[in-house]
Amino acid sequence: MATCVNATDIASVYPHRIVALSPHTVELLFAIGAGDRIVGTSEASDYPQQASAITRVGGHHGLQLETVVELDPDLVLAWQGGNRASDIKRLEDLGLRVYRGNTQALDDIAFEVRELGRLTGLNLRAEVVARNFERDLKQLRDTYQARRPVRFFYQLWAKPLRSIAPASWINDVMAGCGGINVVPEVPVLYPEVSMESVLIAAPEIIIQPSGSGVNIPSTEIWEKWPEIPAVTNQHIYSIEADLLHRFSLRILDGMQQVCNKIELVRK
Amino acid sequence: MHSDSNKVFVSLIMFVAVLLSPILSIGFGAANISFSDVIAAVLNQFGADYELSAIKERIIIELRMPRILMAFLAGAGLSLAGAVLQNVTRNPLADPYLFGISSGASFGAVLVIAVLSGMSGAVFGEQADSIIAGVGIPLGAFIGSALSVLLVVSLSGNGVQIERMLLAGVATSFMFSAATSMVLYVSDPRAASSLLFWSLGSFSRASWGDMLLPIVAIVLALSLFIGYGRQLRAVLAGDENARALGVDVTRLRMGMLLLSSFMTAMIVAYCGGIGFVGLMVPHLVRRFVGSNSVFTMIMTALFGGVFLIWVDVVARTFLAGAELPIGVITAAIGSVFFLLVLRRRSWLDG
Repeated sequence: MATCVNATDIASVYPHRIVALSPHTVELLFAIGAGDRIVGTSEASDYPQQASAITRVGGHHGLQLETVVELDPDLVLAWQGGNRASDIKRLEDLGLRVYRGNTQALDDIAFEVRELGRLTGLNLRAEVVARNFERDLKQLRDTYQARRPVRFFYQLWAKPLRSIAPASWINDVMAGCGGINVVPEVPVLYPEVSMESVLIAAPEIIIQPSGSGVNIPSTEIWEKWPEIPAVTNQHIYSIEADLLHRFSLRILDGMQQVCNKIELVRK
Repeated sequence: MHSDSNKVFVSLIMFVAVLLSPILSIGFGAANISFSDVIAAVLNQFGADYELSAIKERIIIELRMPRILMAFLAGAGLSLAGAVLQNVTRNPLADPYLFGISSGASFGAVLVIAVLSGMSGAVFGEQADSIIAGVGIPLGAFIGSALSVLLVVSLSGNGVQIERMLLAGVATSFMFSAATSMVLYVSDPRAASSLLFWSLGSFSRASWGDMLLPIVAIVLALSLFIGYGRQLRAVLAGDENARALGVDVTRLRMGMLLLSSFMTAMIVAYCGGIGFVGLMVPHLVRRFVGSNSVFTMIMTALFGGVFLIWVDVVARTFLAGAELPIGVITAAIGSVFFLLVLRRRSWLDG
């Protein structure tokens, strides 16, 4: 076994004290087998279960830069969509090695996995994970995307009524299942909409993301409006928000659930 | 200066505006609704049987109409509150915002909403929750606004010095805004952004059931304002003057402040925070009909109502498919108005 490198050698070449500043990066690191190298992460990182035990270095309000420095990381995985630009800049100025992830869409996830593999020296494992993801995503799209389009309303919040614009990335998930957003193209990604506009758009299905104790899905606001096909035909469904709102591999579970629900409408 | 013929002319214009605004504005919105649809929908409520799609009829009767009425009520109430506050403090800058009344009400309401959304459904069940929210949010708003009034009055020194009162108002306003920010800060990010939407003001959630409290508050306040018209006019001429006429200035001021805060709270509870209306509308109205009269008070209420009806038209039509927050529009109009006023200082004395 002369070619075998021992663990100490790997640790000396590749980062072994990683601070991952977003929940999805943590999930992806665990998926490629680098989960045990994470020493710090953000508040919302709760999957897989072991992630909850990792030291927290801030949340959506911003980072505690001191805690990050104190952890003495040899790699910081920042996320340009979620971490404040000024925080990322500051970490770089402090001389830390920062990788700026730029995952903004469903199709960026496989790329991110490969990048994480490259950074951690787990290229092979990452390649397998990325390929499986791409294959499964393609399979979902091949199966559902071309079927009869179903008009959906994505109810991000009930009071006030908020939804997603077609330009938002969650829309890609819905579109992959053959869904068509009833919200028109607007300059806001997560607009407040009026009940009136939902009424005239007549969605066939209403999806309510749920989770972490807030906005427990309620059909109460819809009961009054049997004019909406989704209400009459009882196609109002709730799906775990973390499965749909994170750039993790679990998005495929969320997407499969969405596709199944939309399929119920077609039947 | 403001003659009787002037009054007749202004009331005539206002009468037409109050009559036409709801009818004309009802045609604007996401759904394509014509004037004849509106007539048909209204007549159908009284047993007629005009042909109209059920969905259009419900949009007109259950969404557009309450929305327009709520906008009118909010505009009327906030303008009245502004006019009375400006009167009892003799300060042209007084309005529910400057006095911390709006921020107190917002804080109370936001706190109730945040607590409710944290335990929604889990504790009392959905049905009970909506009842708790229906009572809790207006109550929270009123407690918050009353608290700010008490704070302002207790900070404004012996005999209630008006300059100190305004400074106390500004301080209280900042204090409650900070408390609201704190609630937003600790809430779940999705809840926080929804609370932010709410706090910017919107009439899109208005329903017939929501009208009762705001109507009661505004009718009560308006009748008391008119009933105390003589005393209010006396205060306008100075505290000493009013005392000489036998007016208990301290009690009157306290009562009017609480009444304004009650009215503001009932509006904030249903519509969120809408700034600048209470400041701007009374100024404009005084400019045309002069101050110190019951007539001014009524014109202020009507003009404020009509103004917000049209602001709401902008809110629901500016972006096709999405709603614009009311508070953003009023603040935009209000700040420009302010700049114009500063250029022509004589307006402030109007």
